[in-house]
Amino acid sequence: MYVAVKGGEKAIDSAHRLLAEDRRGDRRVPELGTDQIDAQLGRAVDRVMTEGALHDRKLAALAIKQAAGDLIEAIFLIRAYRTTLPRFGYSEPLNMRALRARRRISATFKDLPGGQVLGPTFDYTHRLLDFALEDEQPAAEEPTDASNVVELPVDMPRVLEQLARDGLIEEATPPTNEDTREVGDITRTPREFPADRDERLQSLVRGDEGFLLALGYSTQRGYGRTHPFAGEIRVGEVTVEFEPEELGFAIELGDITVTECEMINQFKGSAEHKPKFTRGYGLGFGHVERKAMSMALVDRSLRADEFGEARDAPAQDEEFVLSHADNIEATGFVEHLKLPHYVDFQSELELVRKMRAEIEARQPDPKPEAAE
Amino acid sequence: MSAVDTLMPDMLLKGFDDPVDAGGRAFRALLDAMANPGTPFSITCPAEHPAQLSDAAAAVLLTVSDYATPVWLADDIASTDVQSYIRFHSAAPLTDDPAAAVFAVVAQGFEPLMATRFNTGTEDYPDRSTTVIVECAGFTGGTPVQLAGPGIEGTTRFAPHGVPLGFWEEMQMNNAGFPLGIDVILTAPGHVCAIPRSTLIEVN
Amino acid sequence: MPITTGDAAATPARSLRQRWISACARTDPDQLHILADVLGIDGTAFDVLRPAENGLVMVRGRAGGTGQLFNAGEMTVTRCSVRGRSGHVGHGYVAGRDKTHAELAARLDAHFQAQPDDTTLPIVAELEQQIGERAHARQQKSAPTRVEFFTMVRGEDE
Repeated sequence: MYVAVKGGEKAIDSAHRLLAEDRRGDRRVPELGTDQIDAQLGRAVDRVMTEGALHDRKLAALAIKQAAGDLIEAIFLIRAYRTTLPRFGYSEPLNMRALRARRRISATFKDLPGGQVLGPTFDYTHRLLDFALEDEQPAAEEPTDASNVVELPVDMPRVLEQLARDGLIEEATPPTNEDTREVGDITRTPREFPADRDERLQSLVRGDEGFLLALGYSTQRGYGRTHPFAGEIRVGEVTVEFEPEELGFAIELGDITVTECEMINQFKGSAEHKPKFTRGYGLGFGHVERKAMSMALVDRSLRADEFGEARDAPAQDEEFVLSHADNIEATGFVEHLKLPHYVDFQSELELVRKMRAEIEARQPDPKPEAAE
Repeated sequence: MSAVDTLMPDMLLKGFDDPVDAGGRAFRALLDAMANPGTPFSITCPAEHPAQLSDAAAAVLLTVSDYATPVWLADDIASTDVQSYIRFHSAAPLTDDPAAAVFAVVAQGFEPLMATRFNTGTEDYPDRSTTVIVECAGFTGGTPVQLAGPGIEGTTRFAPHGVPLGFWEEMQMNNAGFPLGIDVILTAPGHVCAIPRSTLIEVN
Repeated sequence: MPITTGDAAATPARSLRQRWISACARTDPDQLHILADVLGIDGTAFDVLRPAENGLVMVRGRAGGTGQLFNAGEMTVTRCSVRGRSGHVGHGYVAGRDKTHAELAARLDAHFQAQPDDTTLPIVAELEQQIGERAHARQQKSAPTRVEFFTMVRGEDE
């Protein structure tokens, strides 16, 4: 129970002023522009968009600035802002075959039609601090050796579709009742258990990267092993289409950057089914590779029932995973412990005193130490 | 639920000039009306409204309905114009079932209201009932009734004209079912007046 | 140079109106301003039916890229609807929160509807060309990062 407390307005105002001053930091240092955050802290922006569940780079950059770089606080700001806007509707499904990939790798096939494209990646860096970045004047960019560069093809076939053609992996079949079935939307209907995969995926996209990373890692270490391979990871731009009711046809709204990960997982097969690979899916706004991979691992783990697997590891426990993946829900409940619990605690304090008194009353008085 | 299959783009009308500000003022008028049953209040109206709908009824719909509130329209109101107008400005789904409606609009005329066809809520959630917008010709000149109850100091006399046949008797029955029942917003050009389920009615 | 405006290539049956609304959404608002000026579009010649407003569109994905639908997250979208002197109603829907962009797009939609298609087609084609070139250029920056991996035989038993 929380009781309202009065007073403290002046102190709270002062605390907010101090927060603003603290956020601004040393005034001899130029103020950070949101365009700089967007351009130069892009991965932070991507994370805030994905877990804030709202694609808007400028808003995410603003939130990061306001939150002084506290990304969960920034995500909180985005989630709160989103509630002030009307929902125009649902987009057409993203056409991921038409993704203009700037990065596209597979750990399962080295020779891909369209090729492996590293794109901008931290992979293969030596994780050595680059002190040159401390300089205000950045070094001149080295021109890329443009000789022998072959243009990327517009069409890069999806790796898993090739496997699916041979029947070696489960199809990513659209449900047959697609036209009639409502697609679950946890922003409209509170989640219930058991959840369908659509609701699970929606929860996972906005789920905390650290939480999903740890869960994904746990499956690799044997807690619900799924034997994963990174079938394909793509980062690139896709055009979002939307059909406004007053037009009656779909139009393009603009391009967004997304990251997609398809995991290939082993499945032993059963009496009825020949062995084939299974899949887990990860998707996020911006370049969020670690997140997409973690999501794909957890998506696959949560499908345990579909494949008749025992559900005994944390990553396979749907209620556990989905109830704790949202960092805004989590931080709300953890941080609420800071709110006044004075009456609550007083009653517990009295109870403990009473219990102690009762025990003491039942016990004979301690014998006085040997007198004299 | 029936969606409008084809909206007629060239017949689309303007809504509120400034949806946020005007919508806020119209909402204030509705709050005042609900808090003072039987007292007419002027309401901020949209710049344009379909002919089958009064400006006040249009104002109420654009203010309170949205994608999550199914709207039912009486047959003589359910023209393509009105349907397009609601879909375009408030995105409320249109329903054929009065019991499924969160908001309903009944045209001015002598047809009985048939209050029981609407959703009167449940014992657990009496608030999940239909709010019915009843169009009438004006708030004076009709058969006077005496109103009492929450929001009314003592009693007040009210004499709208052009209300549905047997309207007050139905409203008495509606009140008798309290806490279940519908809430009614009477609309006349530029004005609204509320008769919530809590209002006691005495017909002279 | 292969030009693609995203999914456009996959859906050949798009109407010209569909194409110009899409192109206006994906063109920089500064550029749309210039275009509107060139076309002599007078901002005062429009009745605003639904003023520019910010809102959300829920982006849908598919499990595995091609399978079951799910809601991935929302994006900000701004829309506006106007009626031109000709009586044509124009709609603008653009990603982001730029109300001027949505308003310009709505005016252009109303304007183009009142024009013969063969006047509009080259303008739309030009916009699409520029959109395609930008998208292409962005993607092709990754072309030099294409890699050939070679598997090496390891082991001591050979």
